[in-house]
Amino acid sequence: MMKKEALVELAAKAADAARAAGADAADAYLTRGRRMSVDVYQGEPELFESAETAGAGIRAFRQGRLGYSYTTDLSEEGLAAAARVAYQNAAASDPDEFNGLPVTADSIMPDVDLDLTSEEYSRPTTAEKIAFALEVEKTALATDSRVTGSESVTYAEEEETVALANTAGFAGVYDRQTCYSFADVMAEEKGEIQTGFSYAAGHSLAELDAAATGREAAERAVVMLGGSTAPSATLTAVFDPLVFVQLLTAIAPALNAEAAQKGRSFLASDVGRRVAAAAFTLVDDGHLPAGLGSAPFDDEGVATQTTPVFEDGVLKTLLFNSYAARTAGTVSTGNGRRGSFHSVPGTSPTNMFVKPGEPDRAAIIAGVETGIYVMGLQGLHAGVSPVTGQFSAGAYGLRIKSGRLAEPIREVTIASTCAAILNNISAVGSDIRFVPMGASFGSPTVAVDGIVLSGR
Amino acid sequence: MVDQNVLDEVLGVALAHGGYFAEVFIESKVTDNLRLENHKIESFSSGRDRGAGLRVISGAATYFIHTDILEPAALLASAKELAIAVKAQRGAGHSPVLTRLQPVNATAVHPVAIPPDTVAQAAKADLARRADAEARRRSKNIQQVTVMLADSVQDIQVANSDGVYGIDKRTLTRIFVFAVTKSGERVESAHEAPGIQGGFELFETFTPEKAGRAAAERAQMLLTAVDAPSGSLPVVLGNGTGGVLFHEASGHGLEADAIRKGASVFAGRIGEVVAAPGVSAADDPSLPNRWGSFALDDEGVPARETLLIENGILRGFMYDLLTARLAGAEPTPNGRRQSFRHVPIPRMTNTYIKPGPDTLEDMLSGIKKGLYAKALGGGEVNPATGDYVFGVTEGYLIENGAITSPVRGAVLVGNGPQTLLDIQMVGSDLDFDAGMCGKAGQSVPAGTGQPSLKIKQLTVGGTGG
Repeated sequence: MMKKEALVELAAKAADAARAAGADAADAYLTRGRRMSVDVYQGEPELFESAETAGAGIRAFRQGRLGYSYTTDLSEEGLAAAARVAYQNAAASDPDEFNGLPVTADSIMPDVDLDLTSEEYSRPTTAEKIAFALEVEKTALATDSRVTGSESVTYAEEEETVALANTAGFAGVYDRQTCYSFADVMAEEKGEIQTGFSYAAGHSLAELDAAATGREAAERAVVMLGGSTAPSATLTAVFDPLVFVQLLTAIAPALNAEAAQKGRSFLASDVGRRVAAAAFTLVDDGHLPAGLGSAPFDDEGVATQTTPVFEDGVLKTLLFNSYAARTAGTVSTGNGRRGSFHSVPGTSPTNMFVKPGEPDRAAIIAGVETGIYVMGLQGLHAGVSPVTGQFSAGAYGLRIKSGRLAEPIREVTIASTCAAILNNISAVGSDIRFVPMGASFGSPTVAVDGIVLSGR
Repeated sequence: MVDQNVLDEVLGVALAHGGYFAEVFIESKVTDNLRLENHKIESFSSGRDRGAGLRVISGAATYFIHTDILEPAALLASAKELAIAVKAQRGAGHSPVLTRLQPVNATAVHPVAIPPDTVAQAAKADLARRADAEARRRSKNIQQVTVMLADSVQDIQVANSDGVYGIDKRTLTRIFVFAVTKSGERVESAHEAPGIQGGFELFETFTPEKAGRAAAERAQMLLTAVDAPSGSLPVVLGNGTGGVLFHEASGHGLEADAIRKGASVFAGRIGEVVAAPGVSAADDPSLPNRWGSFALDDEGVPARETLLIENGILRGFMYDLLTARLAGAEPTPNGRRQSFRHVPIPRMTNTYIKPGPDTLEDMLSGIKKGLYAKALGGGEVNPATGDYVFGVTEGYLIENGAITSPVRGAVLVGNGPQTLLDIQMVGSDLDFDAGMCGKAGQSVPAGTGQPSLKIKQLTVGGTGG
């Protein structure tokens, strides 16, 4: 990889080039990285991918107007050309007094070690990475005779250097290294197929457990065999941690302060109010050590922080990037983030998680007379609106009868509102898991009362 | 674009240590994006992505590498790295004789009348402002209007060791209007997002006003909508956006990678009855200027129709080169990739149910209590089981054969193969819609089409009981 110092120097030159082109202020976000992955199928590697990637996004301000340009050409000439285009693009935008670089006292990079890399990262050989993925698949198949095959089993790793510089004097750079494994497997009985997934992530291969990953995917598939729809009812839903994480990703856009300012959040007027059950505390922590969503500074150069979003059911704050903060007359929470160098910084969580409670999963289930243990939600992006708070999604899982898990249920829907779900949380478990889905989201097992289940 | 002799040399180097197939894919793509919200053009963004993806197939394993640098030396270095990776896995192998590159003859054409790069930034801004103004004019309860205008021009060049050499240029233009309405405490939202494989002539047939009006009127209508019923009901699916249901619930299960892994309810069922009589479906990237159209797919296969279902009988699957080879089948033009950074996989292009003889009135007349799902939003399906879920973005109750109150918050839950068998009537009013389809971490433009359909029953999830 290119030296960190060289990349941040290029970023500073790119921002300066935008100013030289005429911009009042500018910033440049550069990434350079390397990734590899291997997919296995039926005991053999099926796909090897490797790549080096690089890109730059330049944001130029011109009398309150914003222009943006990106390029994959990181030569000085390539960056200078992109800087000129960013400046020219600003001409087509409307002026907005709240546009601009973040106002921050920290114009130098915060001095923190967030443990985003591992000395172990580069150690494994290609053969060891292949062996890992094969072990995931093999364990899944060995877990139960009804497991018939895999749809996809992947091991992937990625290391990246991120550099940001602006014309106000900020210059920062950091490295991150991430390893993942995904498994989707199938189980079959009497002509019926069910699928199960699992997921593991860390900063090196050594942090992942192949056997546990394979076993979990297999168990999730097998347990759903023989399911059918269920009669409509109002009951308690106990959400698996991986499922409540999905639900968080659907609700999170409503926590974006800019969305709230522009009338696109069902939580817009709820700051300072108790709108969730007392058991619910939600934290966004950009500083979480070794967190997959951690970074010393956000994609606009604001130091990341720990933000209590919900505390004991009270909505304490929304998440701000510098634009939304300036609009509201407050400061950024360090959530100015972007998916890649292709886009201007929006607002996104970093590591957002539900603070674990006392009971373990078994205790939560034991406390439910009639309910469903939800193992998957379908169609969340279609049925859940962070704007209106409407919530309806397909669900599958296991019936809970008298405190015990019973037969599988599928082809049912859960309909409610996001507000009602937050308000009716009746238990939060101790078993937190994180899944990177854009940002890194974490949740323990969560029980919600009064869920309307539609089926037969 | 890269010289053909260089591509020839790159293919030779890639196959130096074994493998039966090598390919190089070159891409240059420029995009323009404009975003309007709160009455303001918030940002104007543009950029260029350029690079090459190279792959070698040896046995059933694919070796893939991509690079942002199109210099011959960089391409050759990537090819060499691939060859070394093949050697490390398989040992030094036998290299096939390269077939001389021959240009592929593409017959499908998608003329572009007004290329995006001929439209000034100010004119693009004006189009967005027109959509915004019309949306605000159409509803007195408007709380917010967001407009995005996006265009891209992608030039591709693909060459492989079987002698295929193809070039294609794809131009995409789309407008997205999102309207939020508010009345008292109640907030509703709706969107409209037409797009074509083509340029700014889109706005001659589909004016920005039309998009703004559709989004605003739908969001306005939802303010008076009643909660959707729940339970098992007969459903009439509206033409156009309803096609996303076939795409998700059946189309993904007809893609050959799912078939190969047995992860599809349609595996091994060619020639069998999979849908009600009268139901036919196809995938066709050669339809002129449709959102999912092209002249050549991303592996150089010329666009043409693939018949999937004919009068209820399963006739075909959608393949890329690799799954076609493994299945001993003819490739279909379905090898698609998001960019040079992604491997091609079997993907739908424009997938649609063919029109039939029935009218909407006939479909409604037999229904005592049901749901008219006029427009569907996104959905999700598990191809292995066929189970799916869809959000209804515009829906109405059907009561005693007539469309009555608008409903909100409805989702449809069902099983793809079962739904195909439960189609009772097929309308004559085929229409298409534009969407982005996500699969295996890759997003590609996909057209969906459908006439109005009457479905015997579906599980409708709503809060209205």
